[in-house]
Amino acid sequence: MAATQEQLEARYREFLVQFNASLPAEMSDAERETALKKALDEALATDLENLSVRHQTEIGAQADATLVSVAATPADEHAAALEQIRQSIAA
Amino acid sequence: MYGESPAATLDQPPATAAAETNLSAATAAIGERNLLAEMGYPGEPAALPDMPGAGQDSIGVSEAVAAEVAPLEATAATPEVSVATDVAAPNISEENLPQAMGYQFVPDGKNALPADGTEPAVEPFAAANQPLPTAEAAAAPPQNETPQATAEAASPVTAEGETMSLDELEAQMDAETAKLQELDPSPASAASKLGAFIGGKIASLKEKWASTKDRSEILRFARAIDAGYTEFKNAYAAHSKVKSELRVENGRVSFSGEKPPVVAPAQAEAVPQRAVEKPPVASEVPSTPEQPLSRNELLGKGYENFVNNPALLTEISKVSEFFEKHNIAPDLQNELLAKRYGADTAAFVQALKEDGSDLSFVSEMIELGFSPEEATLMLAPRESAAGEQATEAEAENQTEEAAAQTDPAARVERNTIPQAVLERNQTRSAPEGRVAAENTAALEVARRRELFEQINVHKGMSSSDLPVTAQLNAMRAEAFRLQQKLQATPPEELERHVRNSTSTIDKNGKESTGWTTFEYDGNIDSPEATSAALLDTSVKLEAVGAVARAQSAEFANDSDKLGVAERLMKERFGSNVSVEVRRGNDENEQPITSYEQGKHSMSISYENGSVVLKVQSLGSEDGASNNLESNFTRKEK
Repeated sequence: MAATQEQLEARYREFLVQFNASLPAEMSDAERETALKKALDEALATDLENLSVRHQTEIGAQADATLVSVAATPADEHAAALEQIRQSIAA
Repeated sequence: MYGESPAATLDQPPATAAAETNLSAATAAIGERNLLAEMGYPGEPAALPDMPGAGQDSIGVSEAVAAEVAPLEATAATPEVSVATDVAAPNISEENLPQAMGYQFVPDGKNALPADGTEPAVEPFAAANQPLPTAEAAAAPPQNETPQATAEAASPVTAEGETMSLDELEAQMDAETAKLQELDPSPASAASKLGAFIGGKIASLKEKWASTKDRSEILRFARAIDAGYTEFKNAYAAHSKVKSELRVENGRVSFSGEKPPVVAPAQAEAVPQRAVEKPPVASEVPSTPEQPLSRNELLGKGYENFVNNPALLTEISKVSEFFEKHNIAPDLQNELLAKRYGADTAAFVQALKEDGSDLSFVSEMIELGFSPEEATLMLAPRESAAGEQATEAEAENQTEEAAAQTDPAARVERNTIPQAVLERNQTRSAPEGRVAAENTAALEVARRRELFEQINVHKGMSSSDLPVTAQLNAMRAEAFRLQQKLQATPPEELERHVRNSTSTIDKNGKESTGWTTFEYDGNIDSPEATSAALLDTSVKLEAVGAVARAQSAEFANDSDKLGVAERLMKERFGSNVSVEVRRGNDENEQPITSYEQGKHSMSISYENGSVVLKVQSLGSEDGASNNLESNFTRKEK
């Protein structure tokens, strides 16, 4: 399921706090902020990459499969197919 | 805004089947309304630049389910939902889903409004960005209608104009994609990839629309696309917001306008892990034993960590790339690695760097089953061989001096002592034995360095700044790996390679028969030589590998090395390929009856359908008679 913006914000904040704790104590605030922002950028890039891949592979495949299924399913079997989908989502 | 209402998030765990089954068609309409708003066409209210803090509600899972269930229930009772606007209140049904999604269709058959050819159940409504009716709206007049929306709603659509086709929808989605790409314009960006993905999905949507009666399935399809968009936007928005709020004061991180984050564990799992991998806090860092470990023990434990958790290789590789990319200082890198992965792992990684090796060396060691002790030996300076080390260091200095004066192109001439070393040794009055030893060492180091360059050229590495021990380690590991691979290659495949290599064009444009000659210098069971061979063309390497099998004790103890080599080659290539051993470079040269390391070179080629093994005196090819032995023989005279 998609993560909401607030969830992501919370996780990014948590990540930054943790990352900050791992930085050497002698780092200045400016250096620290730069390092944190770089780490955050990197995290975003990785997230986006993962998201792109995930949506292409998983959601895209599901959508395609659904369409194929629809195209191949006689109208009178649609109800059963939809029920299956509904159950799989609810499961 | 996300999270304000748990029921409105995609992360909301689905309700039970029973609960979903009870969803009403009116609730389904809510889902469709949300879809319209979420898809953002036309007239998406929130633009990307306003992303921070302007996130959009997503489609609730329960709503998605409801939308799918809706057609079933709607079959029995399609709800009539009225809206207090100037336009006709639409029925939300499969047939008018296009309108529900926010665009109008021209019933020209192309877009296949109801595939059975019937007219739409309702009149198209124009206010595409007009909120669709909600359950509340059905019971009460809309509270937040904007003048704009009202104006649009007051403009009924005619059949001739103000319609939207799938082409237009596609154009609109392209525009949305472009907005994403503006944030990250690189063609290789995730935004571009998602854009391409969505483009493909839209094309598919267009294709299927005409042939699919069940619009709820199309809706499901569209939701899948929308989910991708939404999460993508969420990530951008969250990043932008957090980055803008980030403050560091006195080494502590704070976020302006921060709210206490509340993330349910189940929801947290949905977040891509890579982004939220947490560096362990200080208390999680493996504690330092009371008795400090020796360097070798530390390295051994570090290696063991990789053996026990091979995924660590990938992770540290990524972290290292990150360090390099962002120019993290080396000492800081080490510290970070120690904090994150423990002192032993960090020490091992550091030793690798000092050794001039990379993580692939570790993976190969693991693959080959090296023990921690063996791995440590390969990385740690060989303390027990101090004399040898000193010789190597001295030889390395000499080699570097020679290399500075040597044309790089000339380095392909193997097995020759760097000229500078030779000249110096020929003129100075060092004891004869010492001169010979120096020359031998220089020759050996130069040869190994050359081999190492061959090995690592594809890795973009240079041998000039690497210690000799690293070169040897790399060569050993590479040779061992390649030999293993070779031994696993069926003879038939090798034979096929040989047969397929009968014609090549050399650098002068001349067609030759098979491989260029491979100079094999040194002991026939030398892994370095095998490695060098294997780095050349695969065919050639396979052939040399046949000889490399002579690493067996049988070969090492056999006085007739050439005979063994011949037998091995025949055995390897079988009776279909003739094997010929030529002893001597040409007819004028005295036949060589035995092979001696340092005196002879061995070459393997494929000529006229034969695998040819050549053995010749070192340096005799150019007539300079500059092989090691003859040089000093002349000097002595």
